[in-house]
Parts: sequence; C-alpha cells; structure tokens
Amino acid sequence: MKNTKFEKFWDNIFPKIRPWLFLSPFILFVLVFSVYPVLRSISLAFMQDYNRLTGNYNGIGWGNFEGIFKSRDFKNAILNSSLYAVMVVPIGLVISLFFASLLNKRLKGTAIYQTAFFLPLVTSTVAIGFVWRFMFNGNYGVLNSILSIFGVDKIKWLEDSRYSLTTIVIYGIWSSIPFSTIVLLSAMQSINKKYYIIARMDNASSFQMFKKITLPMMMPTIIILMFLNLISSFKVFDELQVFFGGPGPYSNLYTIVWYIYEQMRTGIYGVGYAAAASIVLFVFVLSATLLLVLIRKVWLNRGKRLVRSKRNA
Amino acid sequence: MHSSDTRKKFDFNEFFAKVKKILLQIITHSKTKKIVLYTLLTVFAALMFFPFYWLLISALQRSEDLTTLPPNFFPLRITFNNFITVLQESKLLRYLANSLIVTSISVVCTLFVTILAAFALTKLKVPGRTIIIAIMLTLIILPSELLIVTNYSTIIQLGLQDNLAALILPFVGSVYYVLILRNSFLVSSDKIYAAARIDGASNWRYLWRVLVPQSKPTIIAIVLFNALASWNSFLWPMLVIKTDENKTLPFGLLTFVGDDDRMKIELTMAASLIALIPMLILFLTTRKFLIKAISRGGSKG
Amino acid sequence: MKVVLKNLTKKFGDIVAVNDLSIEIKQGEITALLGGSGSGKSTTLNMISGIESVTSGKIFFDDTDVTKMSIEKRNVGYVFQDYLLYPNMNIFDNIAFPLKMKKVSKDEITEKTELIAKALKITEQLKKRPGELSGGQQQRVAIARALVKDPAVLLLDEPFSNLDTRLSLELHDELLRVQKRTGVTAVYVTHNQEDAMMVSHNIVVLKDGECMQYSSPDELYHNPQNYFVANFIGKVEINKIDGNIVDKIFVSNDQSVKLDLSLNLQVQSASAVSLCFRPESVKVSQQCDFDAKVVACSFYGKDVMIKAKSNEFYIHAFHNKMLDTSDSVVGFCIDKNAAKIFDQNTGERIL
Repeated sequence: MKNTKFEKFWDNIFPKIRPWLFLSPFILFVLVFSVYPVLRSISLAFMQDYNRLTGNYNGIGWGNFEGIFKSRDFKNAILNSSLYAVMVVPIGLVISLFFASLLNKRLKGTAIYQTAFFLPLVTSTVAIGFVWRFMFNGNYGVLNSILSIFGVDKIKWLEDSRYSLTTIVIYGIWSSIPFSTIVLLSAMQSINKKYYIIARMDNASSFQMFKKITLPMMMPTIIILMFLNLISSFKVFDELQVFFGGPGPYSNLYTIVWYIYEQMRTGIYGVGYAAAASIVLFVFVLSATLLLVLIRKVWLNRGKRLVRSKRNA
Repeated sequence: MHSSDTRKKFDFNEFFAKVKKILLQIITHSKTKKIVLYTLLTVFAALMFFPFYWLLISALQRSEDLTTLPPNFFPLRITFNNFITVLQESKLLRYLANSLIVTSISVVCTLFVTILAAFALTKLKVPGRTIIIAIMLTLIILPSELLIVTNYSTIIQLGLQDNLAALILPFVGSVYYVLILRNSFLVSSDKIYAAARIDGASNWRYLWRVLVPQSKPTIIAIVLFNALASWNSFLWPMLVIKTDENKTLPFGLLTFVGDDDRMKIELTMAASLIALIPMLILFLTTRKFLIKAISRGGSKG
Repeated sequence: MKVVLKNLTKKFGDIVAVNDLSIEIKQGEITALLGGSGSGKSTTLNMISGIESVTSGKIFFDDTDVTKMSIEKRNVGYVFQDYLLYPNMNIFDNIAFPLKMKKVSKDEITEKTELIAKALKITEQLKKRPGELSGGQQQRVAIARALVKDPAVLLLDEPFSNLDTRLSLELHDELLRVQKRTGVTAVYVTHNQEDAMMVSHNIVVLKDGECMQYSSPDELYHNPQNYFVANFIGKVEINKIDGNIVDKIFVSNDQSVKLDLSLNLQVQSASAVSLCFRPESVKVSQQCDFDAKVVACSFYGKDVMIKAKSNEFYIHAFHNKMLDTSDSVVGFCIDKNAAKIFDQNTGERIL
C-alpha cells in the first residue's frame, strides 16, 4: 500500500520535474558563471575602495568610475581603442569587400584560395602573433627589409611608440579580414543573379552594377558586420601581450581589456576599478547594439513613411 | 608648311584612337578579365598567407640565417633541429597535452549540457520558458570581460586556481550555443516526438536517437566553434593558471619569449608552428563546413 | 525591329532543346512562343536575349547578326517572370535605371520615365518602393523598365503565369495597348494557349524543340497543320475519330461513321488516319453522319456542351438546349468543310 502511494506520487510528480532535470546543469552553470558575475560585477563597480582581501568597502558610489576616468592608463585605453577601431574597421571592411567580390567570381581552385584567405580564422593570436612580431622586428624583420628596397630607413616598429599602434592596426586588419570576407561573400552570393542579367541588358558596367545592385543589397549585412568588428576592436588583448609583453613598448598602448586585466592583478584595490571598467565596456557594447537595432529599423522602413502619410491625408 | 603640320597631327590622333580601341577590346575581352582576376586573387591570397609562409621557413632555418640581412625569402639551408630542440627541451608537449585535455573535456561537457538544455527548452514543457529565454537573450550581449572579474574570484573561492578545471567550468553553460541548438531542435517535428512518446520511448531515448541525429550539422558547428574558442583562449588561462606545468598552449608559447631580441626566434617559430598544427588539421578537414557555418551565422547577425 | 531566327539550334550536351527553328517576326508584331514544359520556348527566348548561347544558327535584329553579340549590346528589354525590381530603389529609380546606365541627361531621364509610367498607368506609384506594390503593379513597373530605353525588342518570360484571371485579362489589354502605342516588337513565352491566342499577331507552337506551326491565331485555329496543333489550340479538345480512308470515304474503325470526302480529298485512300473536327463543327441532327449516345450535358456560355459516346470514341458538340442523358441516342452531322484529317503516325494534315 505504501509503495503504490509513493509510486503514484512519483508518477505524478516526475513529469513535472523532468524538464528541470534536463535544464538544471545548464541553469546551474549559467547562474554561477554568468548571472551571478554580472550582478556582482555591477555591484562591485559601485563599491568604492573595495578591498579584495577583507571584502570591506567604503560606501556605494561612483568613486570607482571617477577613479578610472581620471586614470591616465584608462583614458589612454579609450583613446587607443577608438583610434584602433577607426582605422581597423573601415579599412578591414573595404579590403574584405574587395576580396569577397574577387572570390565571388567563382574561379577554379577554391580550396587553395579558401585556405589562403581564411586560415587565420582558426589560428590563435599568440601562435601567429609571434611571426608578426618577428616580421616587425627592427633589425631582422621582413617588413623593414621590404621597406629598405624603397629606400625607407629601418623602423623600430615595436620599440618606437609612434609606430606601435600601427603594428597592432596592421595585425588587426589582417586578422579581421577572413571573417568579414566570409560574411560579405555569403551576402553577395545570396543576391539573385537575375538582377545582374537585367542590368547587363541595360549595358551596365561592372562598377555600376556593384554600386547600384550589390552594395545596396548587402547594406544590412555590412552594417551588422561593421558593428561586430567595432565591438571586437575594443577587446584587443592577445596581440599586445605577444608583441610587447604588455600594453605597448612604454605602456602607452593600453586597451580597455588590458586595463581590466592589469587592475585585477595589481594590489588589493584593483577589483573595483576592473569591475567599473568592464561596466564601461558593457555599456559601450550595449549602446552599440541598440544603435544597430535602431539603424536596422530605420533602414528597413525607409520610403514607407510616404505611403502612411498619404493614407492619413 | 601649315597643311603638312595639320596632317601630321591628324595622323597622331587617329593613331591614338586606334590604339585605344584595341586596348579597350583587349581589356574587356573575357579571357583577359579572367587572367587579371586570377592574378589579383593569387597576389592577394599570397599576401594573406604570407605570415604562415614566413612561419614555416623561419622554423626550418638556423638562428644565424634568420638574423642575416637582408632576410632570405627562400631558406638556404633547412634544418629540423629547431623542432627537435623544442620538443625535447621545452614543455611544449606538456602545453599541448594540457590544451588537448581542456579542449576535449570542455567540448564534451558543454555539448552535453547544451543538448539537455536545448531539449528541455523545446520539447519539454518548462514553466516560465519564455522568461528564461528572454533572460538568455539579454545575457548574450554580455561581453565576457564583464564576467571575468567575478569568475576569477569564484574560481579562487572554489579552490580551483591553477587547476585545468577552471578553464572548463565557466564555459560549460553557454547561452549562445543553447539558443542556436534550440533553433535547430525547434525545426524538428513535434509529431514525431509525440509518436515516439506514444510508442513508449523515453525522453532520453528520443533525444539521443532521434533529435540529436537530426541536428547533426548544427551540433558539429557548435563543437567546432567551441573547440576553437577553447583552444585559442588566452586571457582567461593567463589569469587563472600559475604554474608552468598547467599552462595551455597559447599561454605556454609565451615562455619562449625572453628579452626581445634575445628571444630565440627560430625556436619560437618552431614552437608556434607546432602549436598551429592541430588547428591547421582541423581547418583542412572541416574547411567547407566551417565556412558554411560562419556564413549562416553571419547572415543571421 | 524585325527579329529573324535562322535554323536556330540549341543543345545542352546531347539534349536538343531547340531544333532548327526558323521564323521571321515583323517589326511591331507581338509573337507568342507557345508550348508545354520542355518545348524549348524559354530557351528560344533566352537565345534571343543573349542569356543563352546559340549552338548553331543565326539571329538577326533587322539586318544585324546578333548571334554572337553579348547581352550588353543587344538593346533588349526583358521582363522576368518574377519581375525582379530593385528593392532598394523606388519605382522611379527602377524605371530610370536603364537610362542612367546610358548616361542620359537628367531632364531626359525624368521625361522619358514619366512618359512610360503614364503609358503603363503607374504614375501614382513612382515614389513608392517595390515592396509596397501589388503583383500586377510590379509587373507593369518591370515592363516600363524594359521599355523605357526604347529597346529593339521586348521579351517577356511567362508574363501571365503569376496572375489570376482578372489580372491576366488586364494584362492582355495593357500589352496590346502599350505595344500599339510604342510599336515595339514583342516576344513572350507562355504555356497557356488561351493567353497566346488572345494576345498575339503570330504564335510559334513548339513541341520538344521543334516548331509545329508558326501562324496567326486564326490560322492555327482553323488551319492546324498537324494533330498536335489542332489538339493544343482551342478551349475544348478537338474531336477525334480514328479510321481509314477507302475510295475517298472516311470510315471509322468501328464502322459507325462513314464520311464522303470526295469533294475535298486529294488521295484515294489512306490507312490509319484521324478525322478531327471542333465541337462547333458538328451539329445534332437526325439521320446524318452517325449516331451516338448522349452521356453528359453542361452549360457552356450561351450554348450547351453535349458529350456523346459512340462505340469507340467520344465527341463533344455544341447544342442550343439540354438533352436527356438517359439512354438517348442522338444523330450528329459533321461539317465536312471544317473537318480535318490527320495521319495517325506523323500527325501531318492530309485534309
């Protein structure tokens, strides 16, 4: 009798808890390593003078934020990241667009070309970063020797603070090209080929077809890609470690992520600053995303306003 | 005098016009276009691939040859000593092993948890499903840097600092992969699910025998992306791992760097090359699939 | 411009899509390429436009050999079945696109675009985007875009296939009107013989890449040169009775029909032929050519369509009133002048 009662109970309740059995590992990990950190980071950012060892802090306020925005390194980080983004994203996109249109012609030997163009996708920045470091080498680097052919003096790429940003930018462009090219190529290939046939009947040149058909139809993808690249250009870290062993030759090349990393390792009070900096990063990402959503809505609805006003009239 | 001058000018103009016409015909001729295209493609492919080429030949040369000026674009003498030295005298193999362990366990664990969760969120009636998914969508935009700070202290509290497990655990619960897999599961017919249940199949059975095989491409894509992310991760291991023994590959490679110019270039190159090989193999075997997966992901934004 | 096809052949590997097609389309004519799927009609259209290359034969626009000419130079206006308007431009820019490619002056562009928009009655839509237009409107925009550059020939791929009956009829009128106004030579592909019959000066009936007949709708209807055309054309299937000709008399296989054709027939006798006549060429009449049992009656406009069965064949006939279908045997009279005889094997017309 007892057994049947229990069995009934179990049969009744098992289906109800079953979903949770499946879901629980996931929820557990997400709670511990995603949700909790977010909340804690937000709260840490506002706990002023948070002492990592004791857990004591000096009241809730904007102190940490004030601190980082006063910090020379953090300001340097924002400046650098912005410069980097401004240089890497547009140039990278233009080059990727060019490559994508080349690859769109569907010539033979795709395997070889795909390997050559897209290999950087899977390589860790550290591994390939060393080659770049070697190539940038002031004394033996390949880059300098090529430049010397044109009569340019040797540049101490990695030691001269004037050129150190350029090295990161060049690497950034090179490593962003594969992903951008793939995405752009796929967008290009999704355009109905018949559009081009009609344009050809109108005796349109390749350039005109690109400008009036290809580019406009790819705009949504281009915009998304631009934002993705923008966001990731604020997260530069690996190559700094590989090229300079730190944020630039004279610590002049900070990025936000580097700042966070350093703050976490230094002293007992850095945690608050690190948290605040990561919040700043998050706010930036969030606003960029929202901006993207807004732009998409406007882009998709352009031209429709006219109709609506006519209907109301 | 006058008339002969004007006649000469005329011939010039006509001549140029003719040359222009011929040139234009050549340029727009489809075969020429093809040649130009192939040339452009090859040149740029070579440019993009150049660092890898440089890596290869640098790893195969002796230290002296690497520091000569001007640098050799083709290796004069090839040696495999660098590889031997690196493999024997450094901890590279150890780093490699660590990376292998971490990546494979990470992929398996994450995949398992992801499959279970995606299944629960699609076929099983979870109360509050919409809320959970809404929360997940908001969690996606979080940059990982935001989580680093706290996760680091969590790891320390759990006593897992310097432990390989610390490289695995924080990434097991991936909102991104669950959402992707969920989309793939949703496409699978509910009727088949109902039929399977009526036939007496347990949810577990249905999941692994029916649903998962149907979503193979997505699962493979998740495995690939997960493996890549795990293998190449750098910042997190650098934070968490302290002893040399436990370093993963990207982190471990750093040990080859001493002072800048005294860095043993040829050894670093050899080590980097070796480090690159597993991913290279992965790329060559999954190239088409990988590119397709990225294309799909990119267009969905 | 007149369009001349000379021995036009297109092969895809071993498959012959179009076989030795020779037709001459006069300036200002509308020609329909009519046929089922696989008949080669689309391939022919695409060869005229330059989308498909020619295996052998020649194409002329007026006196110019355009066979090897690239798409860009042919000055052809093409309307795809799915219209393919540029979604990111408004209607005005869509139509003006060909002119912009020609680098025409801005004033001229505006003038010509508004003119053609007026001709196709889409002036009100000029500021809208393709997504806001109905299917019929989009098609008119596509036609406008094709016509705005004053093309040598206007080509349309299955223009009627996406439209319902009402829009189809509207398109009929549109095409005829616009074509008359602009005087452009037009060629279009369709699988629907009704549309072809209503909107064309001439029709090319194609089957398996061969031209079965190239004539005006009237000719095709009253004077089909082979059985295929006779059967394909016409709202209702043509009646067919199999039999033989003996001493200038057609005798059906079941001996129920005996028709004296000595007046018109050239041959003395022939075996395995089909006697064909349209429903309107046979009357209900007692004691005439043959009897058949009425199987069904249905209203067909102002007439009644009678379906009757003899031993081995069915026929359809028009009558002015409904008939009793229970066991009534009725006599039928065939109009000998409208009857046609086809060889059963070759399909060729004998009478």
